[in-house]
Amino acid sequence: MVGPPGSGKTGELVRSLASLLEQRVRCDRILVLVPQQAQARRFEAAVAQTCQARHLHSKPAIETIYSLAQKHVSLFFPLIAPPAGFSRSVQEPLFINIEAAQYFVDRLVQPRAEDFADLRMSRPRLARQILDNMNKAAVCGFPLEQIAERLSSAWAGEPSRLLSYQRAQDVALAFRHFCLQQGLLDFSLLMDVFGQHLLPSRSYQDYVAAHYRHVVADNLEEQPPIAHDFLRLVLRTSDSAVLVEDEPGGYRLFLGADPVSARELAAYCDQTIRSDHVFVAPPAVVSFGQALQGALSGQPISTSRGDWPAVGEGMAGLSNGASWLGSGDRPGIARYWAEMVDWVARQIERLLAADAQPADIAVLAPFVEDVLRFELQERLRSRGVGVRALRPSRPLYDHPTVRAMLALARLAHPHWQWPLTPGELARALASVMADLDAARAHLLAEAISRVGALSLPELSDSAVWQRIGERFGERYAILQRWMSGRDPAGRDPDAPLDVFWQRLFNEILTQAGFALHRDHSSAVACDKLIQGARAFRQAMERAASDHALFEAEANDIGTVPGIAPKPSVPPAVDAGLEYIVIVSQGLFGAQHPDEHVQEQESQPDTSSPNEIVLAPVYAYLTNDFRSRYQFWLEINSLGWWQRIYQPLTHPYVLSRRWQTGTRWTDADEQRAGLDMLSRIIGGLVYRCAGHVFLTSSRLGIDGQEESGPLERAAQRVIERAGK
Amino acid sequence: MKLRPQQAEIAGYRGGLLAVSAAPGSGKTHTLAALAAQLIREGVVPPDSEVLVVTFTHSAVEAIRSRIRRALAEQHLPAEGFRVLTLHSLAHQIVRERPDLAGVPTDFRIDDELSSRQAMLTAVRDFVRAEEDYWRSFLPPELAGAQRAEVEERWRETTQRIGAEVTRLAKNLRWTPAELRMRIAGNWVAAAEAGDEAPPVSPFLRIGAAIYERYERILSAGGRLDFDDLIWRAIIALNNDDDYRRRLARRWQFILEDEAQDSTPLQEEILESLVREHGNWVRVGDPNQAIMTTFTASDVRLFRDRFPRRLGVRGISLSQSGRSAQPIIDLANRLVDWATHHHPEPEVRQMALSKAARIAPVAPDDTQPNPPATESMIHAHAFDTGETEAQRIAQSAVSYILRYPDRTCGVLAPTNAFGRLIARALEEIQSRYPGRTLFEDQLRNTLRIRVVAGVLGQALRFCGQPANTAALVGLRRALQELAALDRRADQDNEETDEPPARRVEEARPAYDDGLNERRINTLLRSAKVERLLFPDPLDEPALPARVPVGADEQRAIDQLASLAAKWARASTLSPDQIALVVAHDVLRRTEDLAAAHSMALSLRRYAEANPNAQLGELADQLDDIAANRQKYLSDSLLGETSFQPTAGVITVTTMHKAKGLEWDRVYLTSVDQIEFPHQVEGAFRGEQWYLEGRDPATEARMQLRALYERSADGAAHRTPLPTERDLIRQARLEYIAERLRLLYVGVTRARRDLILTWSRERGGQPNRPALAIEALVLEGPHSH
Repeated sequence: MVGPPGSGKTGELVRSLASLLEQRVRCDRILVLVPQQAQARRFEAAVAQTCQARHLHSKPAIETIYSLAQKHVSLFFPLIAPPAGFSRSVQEPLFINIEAAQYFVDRLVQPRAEDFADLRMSRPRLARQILDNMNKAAVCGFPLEQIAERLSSAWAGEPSRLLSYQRAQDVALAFRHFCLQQGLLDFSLLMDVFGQHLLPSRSYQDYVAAHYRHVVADNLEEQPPIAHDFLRLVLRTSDSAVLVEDEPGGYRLFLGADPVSARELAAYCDQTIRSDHVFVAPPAVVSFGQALQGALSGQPISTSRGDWPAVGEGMAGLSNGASWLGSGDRPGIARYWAEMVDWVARQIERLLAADAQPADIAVLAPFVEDVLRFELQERLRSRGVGVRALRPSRPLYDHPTVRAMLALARLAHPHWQWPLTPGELARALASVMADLDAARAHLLAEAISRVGALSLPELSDSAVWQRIGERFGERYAILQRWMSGRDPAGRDPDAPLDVFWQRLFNEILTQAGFALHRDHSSAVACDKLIQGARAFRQAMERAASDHALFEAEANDIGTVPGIAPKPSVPPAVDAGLEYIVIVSQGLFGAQHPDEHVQEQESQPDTSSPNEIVLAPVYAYLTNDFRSRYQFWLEINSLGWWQRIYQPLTHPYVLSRRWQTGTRWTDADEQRAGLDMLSRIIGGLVYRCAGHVFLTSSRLGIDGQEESGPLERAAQRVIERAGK
Repeated sequence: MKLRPQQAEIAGYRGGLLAVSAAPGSGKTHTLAALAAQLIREGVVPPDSEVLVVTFTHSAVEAIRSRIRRALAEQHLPAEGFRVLTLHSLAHQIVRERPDLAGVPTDFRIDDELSSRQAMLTAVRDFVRAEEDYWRSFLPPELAGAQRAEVEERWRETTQRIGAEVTRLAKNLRWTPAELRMRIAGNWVAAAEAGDEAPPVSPFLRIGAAIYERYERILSAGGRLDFDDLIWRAIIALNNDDDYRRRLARRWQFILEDEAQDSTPLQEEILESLVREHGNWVRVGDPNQAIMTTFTASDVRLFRDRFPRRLGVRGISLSQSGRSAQPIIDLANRLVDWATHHHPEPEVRQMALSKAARIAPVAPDDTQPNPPATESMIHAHAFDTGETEAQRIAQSAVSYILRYPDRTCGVLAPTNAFGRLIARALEEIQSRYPGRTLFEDQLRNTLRIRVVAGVLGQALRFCGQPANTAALVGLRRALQELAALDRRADQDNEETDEPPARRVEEARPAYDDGLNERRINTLLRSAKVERLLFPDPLDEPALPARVPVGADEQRAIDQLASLAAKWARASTLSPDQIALVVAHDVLRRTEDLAAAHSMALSLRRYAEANPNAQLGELADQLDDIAANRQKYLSDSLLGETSFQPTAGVITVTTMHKAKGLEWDRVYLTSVDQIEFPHQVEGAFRGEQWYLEGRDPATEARMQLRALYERSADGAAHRTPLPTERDLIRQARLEYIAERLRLLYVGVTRARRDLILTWSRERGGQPNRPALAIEALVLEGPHSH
């Protein structure tokens, strides 16, 4: 089934799954494949609902290609380890997370940092890009040795970049070698083993043929080629299959999704059904989107004033389809960022005063800054309306509670010599104790600092608690006792970081009076942190034997030419500390296909009808949200159409269909950008059940004035509508 | 828009390379705007293409933009088809659109002066720490105690200058630290092979190279680009993909460049590569006003000498100027003649001033004619000391504006220090005129900037200590100052019948409530802030029960508390975001919002560069602006409204900052032989007595340039580097030439009266007027 969002495909998919179950097909004979965990959960909920209605009791497992590969590689590891090149001594695989992979790659980059001097990037960023390339090679199925070759032949600029590509590939190969020696599987090695060794294996093919008789797969266009390879294998022998593709789609392209190889699967199907009837978006919104798309590609806009009369109230607009901030010489553009936010808040207030529910409203921007969420929250608070910020690619470090966990870990490890400032301490306490406001948190932090300890002291001074509040005194005493390590029921001073956090989480933070007692989304983030720390420690333990791999940093930089440098000593490694350092770097996970860093906040159960949605455009689309009202912010931002650029990687050149030897030109870049923007516009309008509001500010929050193609297209449409 | 014949000739331009040499006051901004509007109106600019106007400062961007808008509006045309950018924002756009080509990630960070200076301080500190013995070996060993500490401090400052100048120049020459290191080593090897006694590379250049390396490492670790990197990276991006370059060239079919005399070679290269195909490039500038060369890497020879000689370049001079009276025009032209024919240093005659840009008066029937010569005066005067000079100028200027309240008056000093001396003298006189504003101190931040910085600074400080009563009182005080200023401005507007300043749509509550401030502050001081901001039903009241509180007072306190509570909740945001929240809660005027946005941007960059900075530290930065300890770095920032002198109010500023401005009467102060030297022998600025009179930063910079020039000539490794003596001589010649241009800028600021002053004694030494003054004023027809 192919069709636009909101044309009923997923519903059809769930119904066909239910009918399989009604026919008493065994659950474990059905493969249900979706692109990402968050979607798996939503799909699961839909399946559960249908099954309940039909009194069906068993439900099939819902897989992503990652979860499936992990299961099957574990299962077949003894069989495929020797051909995959694992060292003989490796008994079982250890799957490592992005933090561990980044740590190892960073250690490999460290002595070679000068090789990348023509790039201006922090070292962790460099490590991430090397990993990114490895992941792309694995999901597309080409060898690591091809990375530099592909990038180099597509590059037309200064040759120094070619050297950087080569060096980056050298690091990738060294890391791969290290993983094979140690039996560590990062995302790329897992996918590589799955694609190159498991899929071609005869016994695995027999297993798949016997195991999966029926296939149900959603959003093929958001899945990487390796998932399509796997489906192709299953389709050869399965009894039935229903495959769904959204069009427009491909929003996970930068994470390796490949709509073209998805479409090729149609050849394995008996019939292709196009569902063109749109249930969600009204015709006026769809035609507004089409006009924008037309304006983008430079086509004449075929609309007349009759279709789009202007509306009043400080707005000019296409009465049914879209409106924009009507001011000055550039329609839709406020001078300052806050004027834009102000307009949005007033429109939302107006909609709420009419018949809209908060959950009907989505505010979308290429990037969602904290201050946007804060201002909307403050403005809507008096109406009892909340703001639900959906930011899957937000770094863990940006969660206040995660920061508090890091702060408490530093307090528990004074030998790290990483003391908290009073401000950090106050913020940590405010994030840990429920209802503690900033002012009282500071009073408490000051009282603690007066005692002057690196750890939390006992505070029995009743005058302090009289000011702060006795209930906080009780909570502090609980936390302090537990943290002191002297209480047998408290923390174990020798426990590794993840164990410390896990117990802190269970024994303190999720208890009544503490932050995570009722805050589900923060609890999810903290859980990610703990799991990450555990996986990191396990990886470090396994790798401990091979630290000789890492050379000491060459250090003669910044000395006077002609005068001998002083030698430096490499420090010892503390897994807990290293993990905290990596998390504190706050690198965002948007570019990473690893489930661990993805989609932490998108559980459907955290949404409430009393919250508006605030999301980056990509997150809104890949999570398949629908809204009655959409606000498109910062339409002049280049972020609406630009990909995330990284100098050492390339989503198109490192895709499956790319012909090595082809140059990537600026025209290609433009075409790709326009194509993606057009898909984004399509994806948004099909998900909009009522009205689109457009606005922007002349100077963005970073103080730069931008002018992108979306704004220009909107101008043309608006101009046209005005005539 | 009315245009003079020369201006009309320029506005008739329809393509090709054009060099416009524009005399002071000849209306070049006006002409550029007219040209841009004309090109758009006549459809010479293809659809989907724009006229790109590039200029030097943000204030100029605003000025040109609004003039083009106005010109288009007069023709009933929409304000589109053009783009006005500074060179830095152009470079930013080039990098921002294809960061991969520039070798940076999408979210690359930019350092402004504040954060890059911080990085340089760190680099120098680390360097001194690591190479302490070597660093100290430059100081005379016999120094001890307090004198030693003082000299060390000066040596440290000099080291910072070495680092900053070498870094800036190396970047402009496109040498990475590794490359510079290699070149220095190469010079050594070459000298050894040749068996020469070739002078080894100056230790100061080697120190500069080491600091550059450390500085780059700091920036690199944070993925940061300073302003010089931004330009460099833009060129890298353009060079790396010719298709990209061509696409931008198609987007900007016409490039109009203002202040072309200040362009650096790299900036010129960016524009050059954008016009390579269409060749539509209009460069407007005044080579005689190139006064940035010692601060930046700009090189006046590019615009003055090389560009006009290129094939196909048409030259027009915009010489007619209605600004000054004939005697002042004559003096300016004679200064040019003297410098080109009679300057005692023959080399300076070729370097300093260009005769191509002589000033001519406008036609008598011009709508803006020159002031009559009969109302003009040039006067030169010597005083015994600098102090008396400052005092007497202050008195004279005050009596002038009291007598002519409809005229403008500028006091221009060659240095900030002397300008401050005059400002202090004016402050004293001001105290005798309570109801009348006598002067405006452009050396300092404007009152509005200071008040805005004060509010943001106090708000950040409060967010860092939200339980602190003193912080809350400080916050209220800052808000009161703002309200008082707003009220005064509103009254002024009513009196003058001017339309009120543009307001942000929604009226913000006023905080100036006419209550007894002392009482409110006492109340706040005795309050429990946490109860005031975040009342808990179980708590006692926030204010002590024994003091009765009036309803108005309660309202004022509640209003403050509700704002403060919101801002305390915002304290988990990043500092720049807190500043934005605060700004939009309390600022009502567009200009204030613009200033707040720039400060927020500066905070953002500072915080990104120093992720561990506390809110208090950032508040200190803003306090420095508020208290005038630090000049608001407006030029690197946005939204600066350009300054225009007010009639009846004296402006105190520096000669550098006076560029682009004019006054009916101008005082040029300290025009002596120290500020405006004329011979290479003798004492110069920057020389350090403890280093036997050497000037390390200049030495390092000049040697780096020589190293580069030699490698560019292809003669590398064979010819020895010029001697230290030659280099210093060259540097001094350049300095002498630039100071002559500065004098020229000063002279041409005057419309009617020009008063030149100096002191007979300076720093305990006898002092003489600048040679040009002696030759042209004291011995000329105007001598007194």
